[in-house]
Amino acid sequence: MNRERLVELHPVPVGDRRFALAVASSALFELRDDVARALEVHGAGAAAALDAGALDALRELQLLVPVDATEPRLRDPSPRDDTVATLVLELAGDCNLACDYCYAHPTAAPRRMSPATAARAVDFLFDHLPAAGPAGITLFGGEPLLNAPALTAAVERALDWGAATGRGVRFGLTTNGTVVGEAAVDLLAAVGARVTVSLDGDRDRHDRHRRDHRGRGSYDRAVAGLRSLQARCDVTVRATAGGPDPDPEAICDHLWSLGVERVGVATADVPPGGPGALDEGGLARLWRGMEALAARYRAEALEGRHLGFTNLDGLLRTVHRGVNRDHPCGAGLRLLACDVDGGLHTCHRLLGAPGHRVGDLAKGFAPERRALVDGLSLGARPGCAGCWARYLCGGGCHHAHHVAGATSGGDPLPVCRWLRRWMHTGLALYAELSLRRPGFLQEFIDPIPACPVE
Amino acid sequence: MSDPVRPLNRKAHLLALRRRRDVEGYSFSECSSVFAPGWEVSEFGDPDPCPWKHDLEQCWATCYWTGQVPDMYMYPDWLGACANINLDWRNLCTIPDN
Repeated sequence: MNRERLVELHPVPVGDRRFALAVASSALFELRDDVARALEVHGAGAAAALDAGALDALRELQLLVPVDATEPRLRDPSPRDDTVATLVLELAGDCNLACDYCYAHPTAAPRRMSPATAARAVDFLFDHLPAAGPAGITLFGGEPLLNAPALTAAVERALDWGAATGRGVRFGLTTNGTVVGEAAVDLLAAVGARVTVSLDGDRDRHDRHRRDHRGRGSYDRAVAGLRSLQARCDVTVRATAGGPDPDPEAICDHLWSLGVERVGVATADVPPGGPGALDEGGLARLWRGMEALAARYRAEALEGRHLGFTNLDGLLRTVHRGVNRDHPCGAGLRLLACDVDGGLHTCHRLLGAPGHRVGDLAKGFAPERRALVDGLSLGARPGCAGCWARYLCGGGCHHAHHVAGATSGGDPLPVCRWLRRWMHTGLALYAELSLRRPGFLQEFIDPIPACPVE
Repeated sequence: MSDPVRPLNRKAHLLALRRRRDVEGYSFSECSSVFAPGWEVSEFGDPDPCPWKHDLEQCWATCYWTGQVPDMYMYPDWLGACANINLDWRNLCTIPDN
């Protein structure tokens, strides 16, 4: 008799309905009561308690496999070629603000990418684009709007390439909002750029960390810039929920009151005890707030309305697509960052970090690039092996690992246990909406954003 | 719910599609008669599986892989006889081959 076993499943109960995530494939299923009960009571030995029809169904969906078989992975490909789809440009290595938690450590003195380097970076991107799909250009810093000449050079060069090749170009810009001029807004609006403004909530929260080099708060200037951008561009606000008292609900409520349509909340990636760092108590408060926002998002969604909370939009898309990855993001694969001098790095957060330089514009990719990126994969993170969320997550942000340092086993990041709970929340909400409001998922989670510039 | 197991998300539907396939109609790897590109960086910079797995109609507007879906300007109703593409795919062959 062939011996069989159930694949690794993560149970997701929602009210009196039962769902399960097949960990290796990221496939989410609803289970009939008797199947769910057998799983709950007998665990991996549940097969002995199920009827022939249920066993056949489980076999057909590869949830019941021969005991010596590998569990089916439905892995999203990680391209190993030398193509690049998105390039992040460090237009300015300096910033007019000196936010204490900033990972970029920008200088006060100007350190700028030249317009010629910006144009060469765009040439590099178009020389390395995959066979299809838009070119992604993210205008970044320091504060990118301090360097209008390079910004303009990059945009114009990309538009020229787009016109010559017929490829679409997707522009993004991240700014602190304090130096937004009319010309920049005109340019960003004209190319349909997706703009992200960093704003941490109300004046007290924002000015606690986001001050200029003379120690002055930046809230008023940032809000003024936000308003200029909102009038003409597609704007998302990214808020850092810093310690010691993160309150994502208060942050979002304030930003929504400013008319912001989409808000995303993140933690400060700083070493323990650093500015804005969260200790265990702070993390618990943060995730209580995130769960409260998820509850509000759910209530709105059940009425067919969408709350502009991008953390949950992204999580629901992850569940909907059944993301199954060996890397947490495209960094080092088809996303690279170019520093002010033309050096190429795995991502914008790791400019200049040891072990993350993958080449430069003049010489192209360094030979060690591939091994370096493989070393950042899930397979190189032994602490992830026992986590049910490992393939949805892909191993966690490279920069967060860089800040946290190496661990000997177990969860590799302090935030892991909270992220697992968050993923569980997303699975449960997705399952519930699939039953009660499938139209919401079709309207707000399923659509793929179109390329704004063709 | 009468089925012992019901697929919910795209990967679950993909497993369900694989389970009983007597005919491989229309496609190589779901969408493309040549090679599916299969991978892209999302607008958030994430590795992002190509979103075409089971929804042909959606492909048309955004698919960058040329020639895989019909011209919906000329033939806006090309899916009209295919309420369920998995069951009705035979009805797809209704657009004249010019």
